[in-house]
Amino acid sequence: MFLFISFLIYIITTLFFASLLFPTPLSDNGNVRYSSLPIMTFVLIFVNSMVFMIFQGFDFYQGVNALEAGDMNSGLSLINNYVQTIWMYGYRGALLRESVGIGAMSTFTSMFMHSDMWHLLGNMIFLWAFGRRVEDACGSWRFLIFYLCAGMIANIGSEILNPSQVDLPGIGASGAISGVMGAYLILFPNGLVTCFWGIGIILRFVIVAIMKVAGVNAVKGAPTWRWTIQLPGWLLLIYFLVRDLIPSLETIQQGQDFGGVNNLAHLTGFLAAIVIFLFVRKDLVTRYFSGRAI
Amino acid sequence: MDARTLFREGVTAIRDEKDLNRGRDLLVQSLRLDPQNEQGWLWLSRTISDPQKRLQALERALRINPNNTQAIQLVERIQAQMGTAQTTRSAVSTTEMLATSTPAAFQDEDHIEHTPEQTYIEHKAAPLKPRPADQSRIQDLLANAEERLAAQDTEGAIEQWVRVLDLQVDHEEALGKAVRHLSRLKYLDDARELVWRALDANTQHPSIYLTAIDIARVQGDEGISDELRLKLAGLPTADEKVITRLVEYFIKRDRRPDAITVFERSIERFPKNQALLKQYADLLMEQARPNDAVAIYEQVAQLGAGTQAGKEADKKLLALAPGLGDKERGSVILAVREAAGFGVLALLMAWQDAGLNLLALGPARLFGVIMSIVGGYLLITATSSAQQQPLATMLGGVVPPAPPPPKNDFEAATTVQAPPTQLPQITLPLRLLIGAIGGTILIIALYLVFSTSINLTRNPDFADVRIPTIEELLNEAEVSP
Repeated sequence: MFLFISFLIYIITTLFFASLLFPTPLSDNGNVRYSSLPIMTFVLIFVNSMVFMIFQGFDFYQGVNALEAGDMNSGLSLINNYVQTIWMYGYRGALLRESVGIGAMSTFTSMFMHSDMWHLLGNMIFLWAFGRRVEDACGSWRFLIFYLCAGMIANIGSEILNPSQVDLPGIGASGAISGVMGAYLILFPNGLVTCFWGIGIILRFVIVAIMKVAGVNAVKGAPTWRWTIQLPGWLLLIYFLVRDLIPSLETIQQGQDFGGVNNLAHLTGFLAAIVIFLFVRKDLVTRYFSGRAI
Repeated sequence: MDARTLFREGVTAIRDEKDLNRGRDLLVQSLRLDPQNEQGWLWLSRTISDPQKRLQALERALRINPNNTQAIQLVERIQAQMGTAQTTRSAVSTTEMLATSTPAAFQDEDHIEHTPEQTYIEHKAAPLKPRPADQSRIQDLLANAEERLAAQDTEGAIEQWVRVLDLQVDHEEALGKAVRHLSRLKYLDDARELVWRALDANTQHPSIYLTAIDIARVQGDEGISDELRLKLAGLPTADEKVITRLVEYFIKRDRRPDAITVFERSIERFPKNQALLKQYADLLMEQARPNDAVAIYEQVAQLGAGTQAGKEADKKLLALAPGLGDKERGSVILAVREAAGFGVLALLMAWQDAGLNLLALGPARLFGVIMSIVGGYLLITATSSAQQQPLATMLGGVVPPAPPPPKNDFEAATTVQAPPTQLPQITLPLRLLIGAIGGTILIIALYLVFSTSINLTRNPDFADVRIPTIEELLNEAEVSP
């Protein structure tokens, strides 16, 4: 129990510091229209978590612990297993072009793999924040197909647009999740997203306090302090898009031959959102194109 | 005093003071000075109980104006009361008397019969449409009325307007002016009488109803005024402004069911008025009729979601329930769109399976992509688009039963039911068959587009895959998209 609480405190503290400068979306404020239970979002979060814990996390964290304990042999062995898993099942052009390993199946396996717990946690928070409502707009099965399509487009985009000859494996759900975020931007541009954002919370506190002192009626009933802040969905998503755009353009121009965040996959995943119209519910399509809220 | 003043005072004595003796005396004096006062003879006839003498007075009025329908009807009524034999006799005697009857002949009347119905304006049926021949006469009368009004002869003007109304009972201008001036002269009963004559004749002018409502309200007859309001709502000629006014009246008095009745009687005439429809839907919501409200909100939103009313209705709908209508249910295009989603999935898979080379897709994968669309379409037809038209009809579909009605008032007030569909739906056994075929085709299609990768995955061989060791990677950054 003590370990669990310590773990939770550790996560919250890390998230807190990670969100001081840039907002972390926690959830969407909009009402769902069809189903209050986003089953497929839960399933995806569960599968992603299980894949990481069973196939990657154990090797990685046990290996790190062993290395920290001075057991170099078993530590390196476990870490090697972890690396091998990524290279075998991560998304690499060589697997596809040369038809080796599991070939194009890696497009699916890579989508459910993550490098570490923070990678997983970050992606799953974003999936929860934006996936819930997009799933509601599509229905569970259609949402799953859209998610897979977006992930594949992100993989393909990051592979064919990157002129680098270095064939590093790509893993993570972020390409597919970028597609979900793009779909959210298309479908719910006026949505409000509850975020954790250190600077924003402090700014809000100052502004609300000043306005209350000044006697502005509109904020009289509003609480001065809140742990979260609501940001317009479009603002948040355009920020993420721009954040990925510049490094992506650099990658397209120069090629990226080192690891790290695959911004190009994020960007192409985001652009893949355009196919969302093939997957949203029938009545939503007609509502959307007749200018009505969805 | 002049004839006009005597006449006016006589009428006042009869109608307001109920002093028929004095009224008769004054009228007789007036008629002595002005025997051509048609209305004077009419009023005089009302102060007399003897039918013969009454007929005489009316005959004098008819002599001045043979078209005076009021006088004609009164004559007919008296003759009917006297009986046929007597009527014949009295008609003769009336004719005889006509030459000799003078106002003085009526002065010795001692027994006065008075009934409350007796008013300045006689209640009678009159035509709604004037005869073509009367059109010019109406214009003349209206002109006369204006002349008399200009000459400060209000009663003379009223008389002209009343004559117009004898020719066309709901002539808006004549009625409006007559009522206005009668009301100013405090002859509210007469004003009411004129208006009710038009209402009884089934006038279609909303302004006359509104006048009747005002009169009823002034006279404290709220019941009649409300009845008229509801009747006015159903009038085909009542426009949006009138309906809005009626609704506001009932809402102001917290009588929302009556406001809803106004809408129920009128809303069909305004199928494109978003504001009115939205107000109706809001009222239905307030009265815990969400299902009815949803249908109206949908109507408002479909008229255009860009307007204020459209946006608000749309928001309400969003908060209430999904709105899958027959338009979407029956659409083949929307079903094909979903099938195209399977096609995109298959194409992306095929593209990767072909080593990210579209030119190397090959016939099998291309065929697989096409099959995925076909299989997806069948699967979608079986699951979410079983009412496509004309497919569902061709396959012998039947219209699904309407959803069961709410079990109780609470359920009716708190739940929104899906609108009943009118489109036939493919039967369940057939859907199962179509779904099974579609699913099979889809599986085959996905195998075709991804065959290389599936074969590789069955027996993965990583011998040719260069996998670096941790030592090799120590100098490289971690990989993570």
